Amino acid sequence: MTAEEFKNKIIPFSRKLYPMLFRILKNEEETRDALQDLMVKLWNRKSDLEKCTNQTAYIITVAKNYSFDLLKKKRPDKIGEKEEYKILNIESGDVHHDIKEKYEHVQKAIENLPEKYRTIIQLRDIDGFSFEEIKGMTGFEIPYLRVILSRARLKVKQEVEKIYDYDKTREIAQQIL
Amino acid sequence: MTKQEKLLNKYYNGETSLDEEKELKKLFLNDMNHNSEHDIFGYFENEKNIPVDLEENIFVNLETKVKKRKTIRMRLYSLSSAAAVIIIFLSVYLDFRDTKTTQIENDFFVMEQALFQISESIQPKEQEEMLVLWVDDNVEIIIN
Repeated sequence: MTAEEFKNKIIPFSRKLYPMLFRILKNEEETRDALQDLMVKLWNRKSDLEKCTNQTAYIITVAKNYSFDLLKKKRPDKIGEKEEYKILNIESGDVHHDIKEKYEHVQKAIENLPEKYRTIIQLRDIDGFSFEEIKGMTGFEIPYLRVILSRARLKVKQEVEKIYDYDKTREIAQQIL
Repeated sequence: MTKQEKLLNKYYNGETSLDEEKELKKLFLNDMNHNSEHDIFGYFENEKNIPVDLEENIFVNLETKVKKRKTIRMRLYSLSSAAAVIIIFLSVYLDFRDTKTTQIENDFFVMEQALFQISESIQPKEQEEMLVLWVDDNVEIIIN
């Protein structure tokens, strides 16, 4: 595999893997370094990659093992860059404060889900992994993944709607108009 | 039921494809009506937050690292080959020196033998064996 082929076929996976690694590391620089490291690992195994019939599955497996290692190393109580950013924005009275607050509620709803539900909704709705890829990462069969995903999505919607009564807001808006 | 509602039902049943999900998210994010999906999908998009230069940056760094490794490997190769050449020369030289020394030693031995033979032939004959019967301060009894 030439450098150009690697750039076109394998490097694009870094975009897919970025959000997942960011959730573990909670820091842009560390995530970039981790991805860099992961790509070097894949480059060193490029002869294996070439022989592989399913390159995506191979990359996903390497990435999964790599993130498990990261999780083991990572301290659990570090405040992430994103959280810090949010706090700073709230303090400076950001114009998007309202939206940020809503996103925080969605985030909380996802964080409160059982681990299995949380992982699957994040892999699908944030990272955009296919069911095959999620199967490779979690080991669950696709019909089961669909069920878990459905429940997780409904639960998040339910939790978010508990905080904001969207219909009421609409009614009030209509009354004002 | 509109297409958007149908897709949304499919989405909540976990039956949408990735393309359908993209389409659905786009529809809701452009929708000005305030609903939970607008916020949820907005959050998902916001969480992606991938740096624009990510891929390019990774590729450039990878190339530099690979090149560096190659240079280090090449240096190691040249160093080890230089060491091998030195060892070969050294062993040849030592071997040569060794044979030279052995030759000199052999020559020296031959010369020593020759000298010994010459000196032996020059020296007067030793006295024949004698039998000493008695030796005293005053008397010596010897049988030739």
